[in-house]
Amino acid sequence: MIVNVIHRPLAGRNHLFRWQQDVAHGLGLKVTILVQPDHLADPAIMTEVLADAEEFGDEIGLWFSELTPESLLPDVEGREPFLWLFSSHEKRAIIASAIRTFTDLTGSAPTSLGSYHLDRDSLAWAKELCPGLQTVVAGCFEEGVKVFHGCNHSWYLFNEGMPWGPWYPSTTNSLVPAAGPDDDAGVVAVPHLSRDLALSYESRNDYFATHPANVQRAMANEGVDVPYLMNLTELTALQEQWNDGFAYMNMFVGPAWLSNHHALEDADDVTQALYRDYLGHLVDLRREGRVRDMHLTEFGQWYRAEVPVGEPSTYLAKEILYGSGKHYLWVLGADLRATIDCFQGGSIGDLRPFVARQERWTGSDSPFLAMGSNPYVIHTQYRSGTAHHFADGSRTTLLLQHRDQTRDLADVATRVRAVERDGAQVTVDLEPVTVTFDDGLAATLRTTYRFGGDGRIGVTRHLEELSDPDADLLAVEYVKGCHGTTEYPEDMRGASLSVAGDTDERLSFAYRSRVLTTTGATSVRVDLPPIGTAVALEPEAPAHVGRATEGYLFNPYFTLECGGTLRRGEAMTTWLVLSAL
Amino acid sequence: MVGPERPVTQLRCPVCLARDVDVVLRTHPDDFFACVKCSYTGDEADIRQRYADARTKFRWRARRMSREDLDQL
Repeated sequence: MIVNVIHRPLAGRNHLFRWQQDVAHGLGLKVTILVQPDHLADPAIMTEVLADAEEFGDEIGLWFSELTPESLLPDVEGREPFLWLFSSHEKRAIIASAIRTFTDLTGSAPTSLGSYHLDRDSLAWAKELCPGLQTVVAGCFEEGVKVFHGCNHSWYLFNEGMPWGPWYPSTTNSLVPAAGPDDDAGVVAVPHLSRDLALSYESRNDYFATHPANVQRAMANEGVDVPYLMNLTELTALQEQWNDGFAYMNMFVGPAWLSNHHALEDADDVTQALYRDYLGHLVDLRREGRVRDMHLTEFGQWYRAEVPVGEPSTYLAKEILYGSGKHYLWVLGADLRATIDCFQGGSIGDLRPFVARQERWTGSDSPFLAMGSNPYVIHTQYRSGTAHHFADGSRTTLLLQHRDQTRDLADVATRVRAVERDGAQVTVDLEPVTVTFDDGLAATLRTTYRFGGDGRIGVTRHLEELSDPDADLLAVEYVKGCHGTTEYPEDMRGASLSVAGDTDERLSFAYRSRVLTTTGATSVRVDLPPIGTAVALEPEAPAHVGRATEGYLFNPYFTLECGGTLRRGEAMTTWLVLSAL
Repeated sequence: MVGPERPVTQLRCPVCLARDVDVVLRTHPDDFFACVKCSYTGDEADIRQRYADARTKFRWRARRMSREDLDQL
């Protein structure tokens, strides 16, 4: 596993940064120091940073967060604390000024820089001004709705739907992987921190990361004992086996966390011991040959040499703190990001289509304002998932019908059995589950997903066992969704539903609960103009039944279904197809 | 250790924390705390007890797992 340790100074309390530096240097770790515009104007801080670079070989780069009005140019009127929220001309002025001053003070332009969110335009301008720029910290994985709530509705960072590990940012949207060399923004991006991908989905991800103080914030430590943090590190390293032998994490703890932080109740000596011990743990892993520490630029060069543009990533998340042991399987490509929720039968719990390659940037003059998140079409956390008091919400599942009963595969937990990578294709095999009907009929099914890198997800249901081989069993693939970036409903008017098969029909969404059906279905589809994307179910062979259902205001979703009879030993493949409108 | 000791007792509301929301309690004289977001009030002992209770939801918080344990999980 490759590790980046990143520090940044803190004006007014820089003794905390000094302490972090001394600890890391004492352990012989490679450190990248990211300095903010206010640091560039502070001779004492810059003298200290330059001395560390000289003595210990620390890399120095730029950090565009926690901006102070005093450190910005007079012609920057905005009073945002963060780069991604300024208008375009202000962002450009801030970046240009910082790069110019940095170059004057250090003798060369930065080759690494970052922000909690580095939007498309900021990234392009930074690369234009620093052609040698290699590595950027470009987003905080999955910070968005839950973190906004968690910070009492006061943290305006919306980065959901982005990569959890390193990626090549697209020229159209920095939080989406490049579609190919022509779309490559020319740098390697990494997230700010490495998160717990089970609890990032279920909860506040700023509680659960390779950041000791974040874990304290969650109260997942007992004083200086925090096995969870070591377990999370181990789980991150475990991802090597599904990603061509490569795993990545970084540790980037701002000095303010180390003393008198408003979100920590532990005494400072506990907080600092956890920080020191965790760096020590990374050094232990390095001694065992399991961790390699790098500077940010060094990592970017390594990644570009070793990982082709367009390569998919996977992460098998296992819940290791509450003790549920749930499995979530994440797949990321240039075409989509998907999360398989094994506790809900291996259904898709979060699906973000990138196929439309929609442009997205942030700032006061952007149509998206602060919303950097990539829209989803399915999200079981924000849109209910399995029904609990009324209708179900956004999700996928397989419905099994026998006589007058319907069983929902999402009610049966499974786990990931195997993940295979072959070029751009990722195949995920889930453990078989058994569904039993009231008359005693038992059906054992195994699900396989194939992600092809082209917006198509193959879902194959293998009926491995059926207690009565002559019993009728109808298997229906089911997709229910609504686009969005938050938890609130979106306006579905303008969407259209269609079925193709023995009958071709189409309707415009008007919240009227209408249903389109056909036999011999070849496609059941919804077009979602606001995100420029169509979602379709396409059976490999014409399906006995195809159905598209319009929702209503208390159930504001589209529902796509298609399926047919399934017999023992047979398999049914349906493609969930995302395409650009 | 570096830095000053905590100058004042600064605690998050245990009720809001149970909803995953960070809200720093308002401090009153005589070791009495009150939340501005919800109606929780209590002394430090009560708050610390609620923190301890909150930790129990993490059943595996004290469990160290090896690579093999995680692979098998």
